[in-house]
Amino acid sequence: MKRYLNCYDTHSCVRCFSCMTNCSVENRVRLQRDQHIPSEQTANHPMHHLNYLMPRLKEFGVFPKARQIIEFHHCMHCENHPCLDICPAFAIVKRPSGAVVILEERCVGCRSCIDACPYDVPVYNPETNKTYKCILCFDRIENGLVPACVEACPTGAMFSGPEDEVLKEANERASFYTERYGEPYVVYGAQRLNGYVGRTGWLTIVPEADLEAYGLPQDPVKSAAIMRGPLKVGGAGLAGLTALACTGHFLYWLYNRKLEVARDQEGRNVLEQGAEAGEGTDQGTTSGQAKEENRQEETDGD
Amino acid sequence: METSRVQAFNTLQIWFHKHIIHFMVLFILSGLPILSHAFDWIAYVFGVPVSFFGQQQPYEAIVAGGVQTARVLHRVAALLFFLTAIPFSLGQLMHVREWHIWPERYSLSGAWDGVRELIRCYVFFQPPRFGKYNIGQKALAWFMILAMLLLSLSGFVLWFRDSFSPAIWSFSRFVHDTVFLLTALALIVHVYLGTHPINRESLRAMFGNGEMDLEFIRHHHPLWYEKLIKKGGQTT
Repeated sequence: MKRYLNCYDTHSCVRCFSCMTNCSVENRVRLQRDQHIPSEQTANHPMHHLNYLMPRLKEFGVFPKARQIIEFHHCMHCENHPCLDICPAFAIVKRPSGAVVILEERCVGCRSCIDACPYDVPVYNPETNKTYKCILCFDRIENGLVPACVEACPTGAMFSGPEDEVLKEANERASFYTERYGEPYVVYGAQRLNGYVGRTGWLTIVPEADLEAYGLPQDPVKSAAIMRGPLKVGGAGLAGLTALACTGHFLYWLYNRKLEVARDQEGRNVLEQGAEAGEGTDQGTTSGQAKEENRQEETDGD
Repeated sequence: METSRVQAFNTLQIWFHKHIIHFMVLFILSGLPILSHAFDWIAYVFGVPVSFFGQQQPYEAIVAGGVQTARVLHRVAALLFFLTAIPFSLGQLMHVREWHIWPERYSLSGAWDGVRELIRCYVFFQPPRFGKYNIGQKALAWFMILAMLLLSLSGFVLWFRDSFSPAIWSFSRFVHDTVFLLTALALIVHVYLGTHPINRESLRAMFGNGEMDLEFIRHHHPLWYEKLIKKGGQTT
């Protein structure tokens, strides 16, 4: 399957939130399908964690120049998926379409993905001890349907499809808006943003000046998470060097110890030889005395 | 000839040291699979017994079960560590003035002398003029106190993260990882030197009844010996 992209056009959006409603409905239907939870039961609970698209109302400036922006908060399906890399439980996988998906049954609720996500997307539900985020309706797109949010959009502000088609349409729209309104529009995520996230699987057509206001940083990183890579490699390297240094020191000590033992042995040998030589001299003296005594005895006897 | 014995380590210190070895093994084994995918095999070992109770599962699912088990064991180790660290810390704090990990002399030349004695002992293998602990052991002791505090605080934040902001979790995780890696380096050196034949007498004392031979102290820890003689009455 080719890389699949979703695109949100901030300019064409009328803020009806049909996409968000349909997303929530689709996730409740999934509960019915996958976990056999009756629909009346799913409808009665808010289940905030299943609202994969969240509007964030923001206000900028001071009256009369104040304005509101609704940030469309969702998973960006990053090409380099830092959440997938940090997950210790293999609970996050990348589908052939590029959709980054949390497998609920494998999630251990450690929230490492939250630590790694530069967009602060994953939502933890303490009731289930699981973390949730948009799955880019991978079950739908792999079966020829469009994502639920795209299906619901009445203005064409959301569209999706194979990478080349979506990029072509998004770039055309951005160029048109730029020309029409006299301010530059960009397709956020179409180009590689940085090494941490790469490109994104969810594009956003947005005025360049409003990128930060829409929660779309030009350099999305999580400093603490980005440091983990070099830290682990450095730590492993230093641990290896330390173990090697200890081994080297032990061999050095062993060599010196052998020399010391050899020196001691040599010293002992010298002492022993000296003692033997001394004993030999003593014995000579004794036998000489004995001879002298014998001679005297013989003389006396005579 | 009967030789004098000195109580080098008290019962509380021996008890805590033995238990902290158990906890460190448990902490490291249960923490490594969470730290890096290079240690997935440890999670797999934890996960296999757990997976007996479920359906047949692929490797990744067994690892996921193992990671969950490791997380529980990490918290159990933390709880046991706190339960033993509290009486130990209180016991030690009661005798803070008698600690041997304070510097012999509070000066740069004193520190340099300490390093020189360390080199004399471990590079030239000549009898050094150490106190009860050499400058390396003192530095290690202070590092361990700081590391245990940082690991405990950051671990507390990560355990009860709902009470803190995501920025604090993220920072705590970084601190937890960094301090662990530094502690691992310190532990490699500590275990090597602690089990080195030069320090056999100290090893026996720590894992035995805590007593050391006064004659050994006179040769290997002369500064401590001088203090003992000055103080008197400590030998058994």
